Amino acid sequence: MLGSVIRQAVSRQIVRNAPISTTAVAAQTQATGEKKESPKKPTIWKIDEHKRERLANFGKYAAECLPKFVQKVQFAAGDELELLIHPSGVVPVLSFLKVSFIDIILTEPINFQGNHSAQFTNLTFITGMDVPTRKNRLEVIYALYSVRFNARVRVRTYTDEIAPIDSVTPVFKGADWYEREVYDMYGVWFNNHPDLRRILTDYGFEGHPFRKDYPLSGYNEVRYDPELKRVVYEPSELAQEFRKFDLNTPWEQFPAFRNQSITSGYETILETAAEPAPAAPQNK
Amino acid sequence: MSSRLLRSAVVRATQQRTMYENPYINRFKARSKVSEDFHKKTTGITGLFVNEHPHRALTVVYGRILRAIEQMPRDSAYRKYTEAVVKQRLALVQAENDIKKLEEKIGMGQIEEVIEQAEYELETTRAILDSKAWEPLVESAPKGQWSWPV
Repeated sequence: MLGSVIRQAVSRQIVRNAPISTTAVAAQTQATGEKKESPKKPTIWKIDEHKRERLANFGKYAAECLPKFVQKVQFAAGDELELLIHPSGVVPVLSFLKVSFIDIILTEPINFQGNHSAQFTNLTFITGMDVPTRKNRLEVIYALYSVRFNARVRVRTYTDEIAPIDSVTPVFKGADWYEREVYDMYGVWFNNHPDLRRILTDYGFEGHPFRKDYPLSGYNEVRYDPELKRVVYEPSELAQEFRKFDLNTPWEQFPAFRNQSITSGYETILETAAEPAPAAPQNK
Repeated sequence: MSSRLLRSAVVRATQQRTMYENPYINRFKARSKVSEDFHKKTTGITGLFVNEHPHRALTVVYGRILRAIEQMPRDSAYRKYTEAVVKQRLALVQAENDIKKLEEKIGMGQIEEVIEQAEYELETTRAILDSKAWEPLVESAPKGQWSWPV
């Protein structure tokens, strides 16, 4: 999850900033023929405050319309809207985001004169995340994109090894293979999926490779046997004596930034808590 | 007799077809036919066919949305916002007969896209109705679920 965020940020920098600045500078020096103090801009992603405000409004609107499922609305990495939802509400939340009549063109929270909709009609990806220390260790993340308004939103929900999540294939047909990937790599079970089986790994594969407790060397190894003239599977054997690698350094490198480096990007917009009523339905 | 029928069916199913006999393409072409005097031949969007009677389609879908939405409680935010927008659009559809002018007034691109969006909205309304999404939060996240780094 974090890796993908960083990768997105980096790729955006490269795509949007680098070519423009370098070509502009090159053209300048060629035209004048003399050395100029080129104004070097730092290659960081510029946050569009206007758009950010509209996205925040949209997050509040979504939480208002779906109070049963939205637990928290936040910005990640400055301007990436995230809806953190309860696992029972995946299908209604995503189908709401697919249409949801709301004006995010104007700054007004809700403007009926415009009556536009967000139309997050493109499911960019679904992925998982494994944090073994949490009570619900697995997380499923849905990224949506609105072609009409050039806006993105991420929906995150959680589950454990056993509890299933509803499949979003009735809403987005393209979710089919992504959910198979998440099932394959993390072992999350999706209810009502048309064809839930492994997609990336081999037939008869054991385990879920993206879980943190999956050994780096795997459980089986594959080799070609010249006598049998076919590929054989054997339990993996390591020639090395030690198979536990301690790669962490004993020193903490930036203690002053222990809590800043990653969390600085998160900013809570809205957070709701369930009433402590004993009669609340237990879905999990 | 039955075996001969079966064999002919198998032959029909397995024989080589040319590209032009593809049943999917034929179905697609049949759906994409537009009458001569209509103001456009295509929407320019793959899979989105020209609708020559958008007023009828929109009235039907908006009516369905309004009927589904009436089953929600009055104070639910989704009902409030969506009802207002759908009623406004329905009024526009009933007031304006010319398709191009209607498209301009709605301002959401071609009328076929508006119809598609309304159909999605109907599905959303039903999903929200089934899940009763207007109720208070079903369960708070466990402590530390959304904190990062852990």
